[in-house]
Formats: sequence, structure tokens, C-alpha cells
Amino acid sequence: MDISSPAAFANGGLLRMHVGRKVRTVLQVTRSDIASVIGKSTDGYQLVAKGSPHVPPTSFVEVIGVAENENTIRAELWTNFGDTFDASSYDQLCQLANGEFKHLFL
Amino acid sequence: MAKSVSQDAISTILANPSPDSSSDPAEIVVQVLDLKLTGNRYTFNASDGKMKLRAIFPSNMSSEIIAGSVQNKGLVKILDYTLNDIPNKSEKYLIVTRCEVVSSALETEIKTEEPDIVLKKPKLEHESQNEAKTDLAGIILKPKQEVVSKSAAQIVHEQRENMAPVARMSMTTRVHPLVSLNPYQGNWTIKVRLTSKGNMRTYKNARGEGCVFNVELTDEDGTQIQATMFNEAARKFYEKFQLGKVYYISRGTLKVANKQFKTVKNDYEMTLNENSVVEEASDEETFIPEAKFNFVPIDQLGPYVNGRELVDIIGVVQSVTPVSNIKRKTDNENIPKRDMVVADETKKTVVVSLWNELANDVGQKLFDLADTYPVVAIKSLKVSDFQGVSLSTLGKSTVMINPDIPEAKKLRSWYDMEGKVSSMANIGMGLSPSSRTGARSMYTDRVSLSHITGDPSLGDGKPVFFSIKAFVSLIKPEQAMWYRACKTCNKKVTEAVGSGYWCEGCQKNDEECNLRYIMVSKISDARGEAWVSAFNEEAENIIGCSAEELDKLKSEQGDVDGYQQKLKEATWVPHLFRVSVAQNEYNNEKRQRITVRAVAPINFAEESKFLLEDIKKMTNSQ
Repeated sequence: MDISSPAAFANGGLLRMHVGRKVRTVLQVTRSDIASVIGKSTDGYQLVAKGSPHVPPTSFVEVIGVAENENTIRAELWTNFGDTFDASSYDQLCQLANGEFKHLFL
Repeated sequence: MAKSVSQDAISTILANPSPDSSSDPAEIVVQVLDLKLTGNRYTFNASDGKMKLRAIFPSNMSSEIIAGSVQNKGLVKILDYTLNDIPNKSEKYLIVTRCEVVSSALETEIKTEEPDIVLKKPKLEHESQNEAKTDLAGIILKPKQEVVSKSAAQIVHEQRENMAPVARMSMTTRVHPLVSLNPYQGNWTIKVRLTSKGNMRTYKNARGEGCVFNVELTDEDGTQIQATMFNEAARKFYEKFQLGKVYYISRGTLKVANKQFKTVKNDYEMTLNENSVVEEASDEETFIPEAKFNFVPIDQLGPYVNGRELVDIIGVVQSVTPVSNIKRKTDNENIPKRDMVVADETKKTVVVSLWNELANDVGQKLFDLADTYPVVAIKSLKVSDFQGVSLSTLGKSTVMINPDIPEAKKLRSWYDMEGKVSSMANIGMGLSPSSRTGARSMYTDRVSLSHITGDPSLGDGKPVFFSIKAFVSLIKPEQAMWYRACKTCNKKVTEAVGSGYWCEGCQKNDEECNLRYIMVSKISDARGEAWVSAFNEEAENIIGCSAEELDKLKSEQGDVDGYQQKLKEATWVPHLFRVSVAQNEYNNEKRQRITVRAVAPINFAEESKFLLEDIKKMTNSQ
């Protein structure tokens, strides 16, 4: 995997800001297919993560990959985050990391 | 012009509250005493050698005073004045409108004595003293010479005379400021106002039964001290001491205050016995200020919750409930209570419960005034964790509505401009739901380690409690990690002569004993690091096994050092600690001692919420 550039924290609404770039986000898995995983972002959007994880995904999964468009990510790295996850805190993190503290992350 | 005060100048002023400005004013020369800046004007005590009168200079004189033409102990001739009543008191208050400086500071305070009172105890000594004194009146400018010529016996005698009849007390007693009292000098008289009166309590101890009550005394400078009376003295003075009145007190004893129980800021506390002298100063001119406030902003009430320390607050009343009656479980008594919501500039609100008389009198007033959003200042509130954070009045609490103090004015203008329209949250609600139960404490008084290590005086007297989130950074393997403890009482046991262990506390031998942790470890957080002590339960939590198990690991032979491994695994693990900070004395040096009282695992979701709040607070305050 290409780790030359840091992955920007994104949620559903912020994905459009990073189209074509590496992003990371946490999805609450709603459907898992052979070639993709569909989930709900921490701010309630439905996103598609193309690819398939090596292990069956838990309820929450972190996806790192390149944003193809404003609701699709071509996943390269999958990390299971378990079944309990504080979505609102993560969402606030995304906003801070893309807003006033952007300079600390990218 | 005579360089002295006009005789009976004060009486003359008192007799003429509003002098006719057209006629020539009488010669009124007074000495300026206790000159001090109050607000933006200078106040002083005007003295004619016999009586004193509280007075104030016009603001246009302030520059002259600062320049030094009007000096303390100097003389001024009052050309024009008005005499006012002090509200709620029987005293008068002199407002000087025009005056001229007669003399700069004299050597001492002028005091004239009336000869007939001195002669109550006719002795030769007295008569010569008498002469010396009246001479004093004439030779104001060089009284020091006269003082030196008196023998020590004469001076001591003089001082003692001053204490006898009340009438003379008010004219000539040397009153000591509370701040000058110490246990080694017993020859003092203080003039104080009773600012708080406790209830009479009865007690039973090894020495028998008794009764006790204590009071808080405040002097002119605002210094406070607690005074306690037992048995005979308690009975003697209980009725005499009335809240708000001014007393001359002497022949009390002082001792270093027991910091755990004191509620007043003073290193000493006073005890009065049957020989102490308490005289009411009913005709006293000087006034002693009401007790000082030490306001805590509402959003900083967290650390006080369930503590012993009482707080003062000031805020704007948002709402007041009608009176309700609460039945006290202990004795089925019905107690009136009223709640009110108070807000301050921190944009937080808090509920204040008024009990008993406060619910009825002041509470009713506040209820009626609620629509005007009055400013209320309350002293001596207890902080409890009901609904997160809430305040309750005690017997000694005092409530002032729209007090005339600068903080009140500031609050008023803040409220009228912003407060009225801003939405404010209750301080208790600002915390995440789970934290309102047991875990509450881990979030409300959260500090960083540097806050503790940076303040060496923390916990002086009474231990203070904090929550910390930190990593265990070092557990020294070579320390004495545990002690041998009695299975019954947990106290340290010694190896018995034969076999087994002897417990001094239980006075018995036991074949077996427990091992209990007394571990010292280093913890670190983003801001600093500190050494802390942990006892059995907490250390077990940190290390992950009991002391016995760790002992077993230690004595195991083999390739793998289980003991070191266990300690390693415990290192760099984050925890939420509840710690107490106290002061210990080692070789006359005070050292800070931090003890772990509770350990909790980090709840990452809660912690994230807490950190996000913190970030918000930081960005808001910029």
C-alpha cells in the first residue's frame, strides 16, 4: 500500500473535499458483498467501500483508501473496530481535523 | 493657632449635624487617625482626644492626601461638614466638605484623660501618672519624652486600667488588630464584631460530659478568627454573644488552629474561659466591616463537591421556587426549603437550596424580586453532588440581595448586556450521563500532574482530591512492595518468637499472615510526572495480581523472570486515578505526598467526549 501521503480523516459529508486523495473513515457496516462493503458514515451518509476485507468485518470497520467520488472509497486497508464505537466523537474529530486543526493532520 | 485638637470637637460636631454655613464655623480641629483609601475616597477617624468619629474626605481632597499634605495623625480644621446616619446603626458619620490642614503627622495619637475617672483608685503612683497625662495633652508634639520617663510598672498599670470600666474602654484602650495576636503574648484586647455564631453542642468523651459552642470574630481590618468556649465559659457567654454586635474581648488564649476543622482563614484559634473578659461596645463609633466574601465562579465548583470547604458565590437569580416543606428523616421534623437557580459570567447555572429561616425570610424576598433578576451574594455554602453539582445553605450562611460591592455591579452589567439572552447550562448537566453517578468524580475535578506538582502547598492541613488520567511509567522492582499484614485487622505484624506472626493491635499470634501492597510508582501524563503511593486494592488493580501472587512469581526460579515481566506489563498502561494530595513533614521540611485512592480503566468513549469538551473550552476562551 502506498503510504507516502497521510490519509485525511473523512466522514460522509467531507469525502467530497478529498476526491482522488487518500482518506480514512469509519463505517457502520450495513451490507457486506463479495466486492464491496456498504456502510453508514459517522454523520449518517451511506458510503461504499470497494474491495473486500481479509477477515469478516465487525459492526464498525475503518477503511483507508482513495476516494473515488463523494460516496465511494477504493479501500486498501481494512481494520475491524469491534461492535461498540462512539460515532459522534469520531465525527467531531473529523470536523476538527478538516477545520481549524487541519494543519496538525496534513 | 494651637497645634492641638479642639476640646470636645467631636461632641460639638455631633450636637450640630448640619451647621449653618453662613455663620462662622466653630473652631473644630481634629486629629486624623486610621486614614485609608476606601473605594475612591479617603476615610478616617476624626479624634478630639476623647471621642472618635468615623469620617470621610471629599474626593477632591484625595490628591492632597496622596501628595502628603494631609497625613495620618496630622491635624485638620473642619470648615464645613455634614453629619449623616449610618443605615441600620446608631452611629453617625462625618462627611467633611471643606477643611484645611493644620499640622502634619504628630508623633502619636492624642489622648486626653478625664482626671476624675483615674482617681477611682487613689494612690500616689496614680497621681503622678495623672499629672504626666495632663501634661501630655499640652505637649502634643513631643510626647515620646514623657513616655520614656514612665517606669515599666507604671506603663503596665496604665494598660490594665484601660481594661476595667467599659466607658473608659471606648476612649482609651489600645485595641490590637487580630492579625497581631499570638499564643506568646497574652496581654491584649481586641475589638471585634460577631460575624457568626454556632449552636451550643453537648458532648460526651472520656473525661465526661460538656457543652461547647464557637463563634467567628471579625475585626476592623477584616481579619477573622474562630473562638471556642467550653462548659462554664460557654454558658456564661452564649447569651451575651449576639450576631452582628461589636465586643471588646481580652484574656483569651490562642493556639495553633486545627486545620482539619477550621472554617476561617487564620493560623490560630482562640479559646475563651471563665476568666476572659467580654464587653459589648454599644456606643462605638468605628464600624467593623461585614465578613469578606471569597467568590468561586460557578464553573469552578467541581473540585469542592462533597468537600468540607464552604464556598461563597455571587450570581444573578434566574428563578425561585415557592417554599416547600421537607420532612427530615432523622427526627421527622418539617423543614422549609426553597430552591433558586443562579447564573454567573461563566455562563453556567447552579441550583442553590435555601433552608430554614433563609427559605422563609430572604427566600420570600427573592421570590418576590425574581422578575427583576436580582444579584445575590451568598456566603458559606455547602457543595453537594445532587444532580451533579448543587449548593445548600447552612445555619451560618448569609445571603445578600443586590449588595453594594464591585462584583455585583460587574455582574449586573454583564447580565443586562449578554447574560439575559445567552443560553446557559447547569454546571451539573455539562457532564456526560454516566459521569453523574459514581464515575462523576473522574471528570469534574480533572487536573494534570503539573497542577499538583507545581503547587507545593496543596493539601496543607486538609488533603485535597483530584482525578488524573495518567500512564504508569515506572515501578521500581527493588522496592519493598508489600508488608506482612494481620489477617484480621490489616495492621503490620512482626515475626513471633516461635513461629507465626504477632499482631500488636489484635494482641494475638497467627500462623499465617497476608501480604498487602504498599507500592510506590511513577505516573506520567502530558504535562508532568509524579511519584505516588498505592495501597493494596489500588496496587492490585495496577499490577494485575495480588501481592501473594506477585511474591510467588518473585521467588520462582527459571528462565523467565515472571516478576519483572509482570511489572513490565503494568508499565505504560493508562488509568484514571483518583488521588489525594497531602503535606508530610520530613526533618522540618514539608513534602507533597500523593496517594492513589481509586483506579479505574479508561472508558475511551467517555474520555473522548471529555477531551472534545476541553478542546471546545480552550478554543472558546481564545
